[in-house]
Amino acid sequence: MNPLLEQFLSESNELLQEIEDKLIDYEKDPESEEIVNGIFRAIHTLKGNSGLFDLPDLTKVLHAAEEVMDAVRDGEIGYSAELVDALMQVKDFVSHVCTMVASNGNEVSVNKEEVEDLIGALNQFKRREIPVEREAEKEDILEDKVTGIKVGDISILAMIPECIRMQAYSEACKGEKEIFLVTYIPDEGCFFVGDDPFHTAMTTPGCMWGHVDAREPWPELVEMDVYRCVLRFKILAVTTREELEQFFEYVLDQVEIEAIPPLALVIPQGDLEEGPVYEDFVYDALEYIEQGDLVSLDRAVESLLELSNPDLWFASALRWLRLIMQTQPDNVAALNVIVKAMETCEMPDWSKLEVSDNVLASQESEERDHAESAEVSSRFSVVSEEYEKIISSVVAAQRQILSLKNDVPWFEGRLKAVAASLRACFDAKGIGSKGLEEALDASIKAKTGEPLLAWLDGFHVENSLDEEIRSSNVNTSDSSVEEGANAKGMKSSLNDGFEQQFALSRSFKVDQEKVDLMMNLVGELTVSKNAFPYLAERAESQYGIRELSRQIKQQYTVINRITEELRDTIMQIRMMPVSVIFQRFPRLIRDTSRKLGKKVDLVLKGEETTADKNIIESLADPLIHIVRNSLDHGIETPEARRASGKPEVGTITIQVSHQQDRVLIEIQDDGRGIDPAAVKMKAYERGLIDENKLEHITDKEAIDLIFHPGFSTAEKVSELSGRGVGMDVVRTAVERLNGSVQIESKVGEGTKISLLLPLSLAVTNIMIVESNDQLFGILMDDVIETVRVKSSDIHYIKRQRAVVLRGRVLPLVSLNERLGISAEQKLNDDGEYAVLVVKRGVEPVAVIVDAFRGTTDVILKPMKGVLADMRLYLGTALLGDGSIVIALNVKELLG
Amino acid sequence: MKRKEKGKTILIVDDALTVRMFHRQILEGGGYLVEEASNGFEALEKAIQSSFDLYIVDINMPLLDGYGFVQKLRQNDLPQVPVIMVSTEADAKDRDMAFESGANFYMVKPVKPEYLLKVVHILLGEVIA
Amino acid sequence: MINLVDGKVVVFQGTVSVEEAEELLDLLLKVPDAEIDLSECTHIHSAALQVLMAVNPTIKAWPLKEDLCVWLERALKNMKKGDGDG
Repeated sequence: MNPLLEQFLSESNELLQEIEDKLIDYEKDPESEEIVNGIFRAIHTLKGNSGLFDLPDLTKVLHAAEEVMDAVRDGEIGYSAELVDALMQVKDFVSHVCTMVASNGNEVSVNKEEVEDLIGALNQFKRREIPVEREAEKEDILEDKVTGIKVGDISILAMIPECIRMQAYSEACKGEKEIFLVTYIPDEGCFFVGDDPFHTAMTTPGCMWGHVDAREPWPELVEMDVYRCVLRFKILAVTTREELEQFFEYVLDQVEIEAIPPLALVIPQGDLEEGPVYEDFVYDALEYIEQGDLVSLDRAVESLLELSNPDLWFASALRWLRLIMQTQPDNVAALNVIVKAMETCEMPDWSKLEVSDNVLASQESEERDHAESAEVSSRFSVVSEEYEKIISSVVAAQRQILSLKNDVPWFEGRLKAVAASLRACFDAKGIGSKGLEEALDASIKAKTGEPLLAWLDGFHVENSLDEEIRSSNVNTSDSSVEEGANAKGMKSSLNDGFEQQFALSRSFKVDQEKVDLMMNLVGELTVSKNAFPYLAERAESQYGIRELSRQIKQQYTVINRITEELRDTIMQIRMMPVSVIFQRFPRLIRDTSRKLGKKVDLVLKGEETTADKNIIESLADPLIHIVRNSLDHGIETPEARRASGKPEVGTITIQVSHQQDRVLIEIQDDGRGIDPAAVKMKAYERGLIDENKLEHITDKEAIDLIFHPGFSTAEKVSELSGRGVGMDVVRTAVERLNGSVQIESKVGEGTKISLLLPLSLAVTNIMIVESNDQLFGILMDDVIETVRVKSSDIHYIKRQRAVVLRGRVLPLVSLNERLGISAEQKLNDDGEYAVLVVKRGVEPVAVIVDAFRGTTDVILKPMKGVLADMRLYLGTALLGDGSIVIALNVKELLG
Repeated sequence: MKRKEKGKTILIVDDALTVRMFHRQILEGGGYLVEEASNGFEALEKAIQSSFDLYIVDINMPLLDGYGFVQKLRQNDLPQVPVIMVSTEADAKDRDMAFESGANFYMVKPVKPEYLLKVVHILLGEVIA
Repeated sequence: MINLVDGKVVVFQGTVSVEEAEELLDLLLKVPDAEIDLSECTHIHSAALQVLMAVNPTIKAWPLKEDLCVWLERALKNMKKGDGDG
């Protein structure tokens, strides 16, 4: 026997003995509270235990007895010998059932009349007459149609899935067919006359649902007689009685055909424990029914259904209500019954209802039904949704607790437990519960649940948004508030912060390390995928298999596309809007401008533009530097502005936009601009340029000088037409991000600084060059162009090699020389040098290498060990063919 | 995806042996460690002696009932972990009283095993998605 | 018909007749932890069905035939709870 059942029986025996003993004591001492309590508790425990097994009659009787004892406890019922008799009978009944269970398992045949009598006897003691429960009524349904609808065996009907019941219901409402519950108990010897009851049952006309079980416990297998039929079938069929009788013609004596009124299938099912009472709805619905306003009722039902957890009893009742409206819109009584049942979450009491003869059916309802059943079943299958719903109800419970008064000594403990429960919920959701501790402390201090409620309302979401984002959480938000809507459908809480909180919950926190790891892996994938073109080339050139080469290339394009999509997706994860750093600016501008006595408007554009988290974070300081500079030296005082015919209030505009795969940040002011002449002079004084340069330098080149490291040491920077402080710092920071800075300025009109940055740092596009049989990588961002130069075209200017390109003289260096390699650079077959034109600060430089090897995306790994300090090397990268390339820092190389 | 956190201990407080066994079977099936107490008084003693991650508490018990136990638990200087209260009554009154006393969730007996396990997962903060 | 495959899986194919019920019981007694593959099964005679219900073995695969599958799932799943329902 099942150990749980065994436990139940043994505990029942003890409890029954206790009940008997206590009842005898009770007769002797009717005033003893202790005895009454003891009896109550024993019955209560028995009832609770019986609920674990499928023993509805037992539970019903015990429930009635418990209610009586409860009334005795409350003094509503006094002692009487009859009371003790009734309770003794209950004890005997329970004892009897337990004995049956012990010998037959759950297979107990309880005399329904006995159950009814017992409950009736018990109810007589109570002041309020409680009607005998329907299930206990006799099973003569067919004859009893006039007075009302009765259901013989509700438990069988309740076993049938709701969607099937709904289907049967709609089918029957069309009027031609009826619903039947067929009980088929084949003869034990039926196999010998050639019957196959299982086959018969399955092929029952109009069969919607069927169930087979054994009518007695299975024997030990070795003793089993396989040819003795002990099966029993229950079949729900929608058809006509004639058809059924014809079908079961030869076994009619073994079949019981029971007509089921369609409304008997209306058995709402679902979770009751978390169901609030939908009083408002019930009130409105009854009103609508009275007014015959089914349109409004339908709307109310639909909207409430949308908000309700489909697993709830109430949602099930709503679906039935909707179906009844569709199939029997005129059956006002039925509508009333089901709505009233919702008020108490009890089984609709169809016995109160007169059967309407003209059960109207609407033809189109069926299709909708089918669709709905499908929908219903699919909704049930989603597990995580169920979790979401439970979490919602747990959180709702904590809300309720937080709203309680603080007048109990365990108030603080209760708050802490609420906080613990909420933390658990949020952990379960995989989202943080930042600020919860603080809210708890505040609640404890203030002796009220308010701070915690406020926290739940989502204030913390706003307050911690900045940090939340900065601590790099992944927000893939594609959730709607509706979807996260409270499963309990509590109207009052629908729009509150809790929903917002849970709307956010579609996003989740991921450790940045994990995202970085993913990025690295994708990088490796990118590089490995780059091996395919090499392979294809070898297949063709080395092995001469062109077809294979073609196929490899084809495959490569596919992998390439997938890799790119994967990379983009992960990059998206790391993306965050630049507005994160913008948040600091209004305050900065306000404070600084007030200090300086200037009036400035800040205009932010394109705040929603996103870029990689690393880029955004490293950008914050340079941006602040630039803006502060603008404030300090760009924007004039209101007086000066007025004097030069400008509006008093200056404007600083920060505009962010995407430029292909880069992000462009432009910081523009309408200040006094930079005077190139002043910059030139200053640069000359500082020894940054010589006399020759001083004469030839263009204005643009001059303005660029402010990014020179030696420039910003000037003590009185503000005299320098408004620019200068630490602009080299900005450039260094931007360059470290593989970005570039440009400055444009017009005296008297203002200055614009443009930062162009990659969207992401993770993958670097490099050009691979060969020199002295080694591969080197140069960041594509540094490369301006590649050219071939004949050795005869190389000139010497002041012992420095130079080359003329597009009418411009460029200094020419050799890579080997720069790397300290003694070998000469190689010429190609045509006697030409491979020359790379790269950026070096303001002017380009031409670098001779041995050969170009194309460009590729690589993941740069920083140099390790002793090489880590060598700034000449940016890092190493693995190429598709397995070779290693060292990426060079051009600035260091040429500096 | 469930992350099983081993070693979480749950105290079942119920005077009915059968119910305790039922709950034990469910919870052990979910990989949790389970201890039992048959009334509020015994539960309180256990709570003070050792620490639990969660309590599942019946209401109607001799000596000290579920309400009383939770009230005392909440007044003690103990880790305030969630309490699930279970009762045969689906009455809002009992539920309110459970919350008032310091329970964090209310369930009607007999509990559905999967439902109980889900609630336990959540109240133990185990990541479910 | 029924076949024992790999010494541990009983494969039901097509119609399992009344004559095979006893054979099935013997088989399941001999190989108590045998699993049942019903995927190719189109009908099971009540007698064989009784055997399955009484033994309640592990079902490795349910019938592809839809109505049979629905009936069998209801009959053989969650059997442990009890044999009848009152």
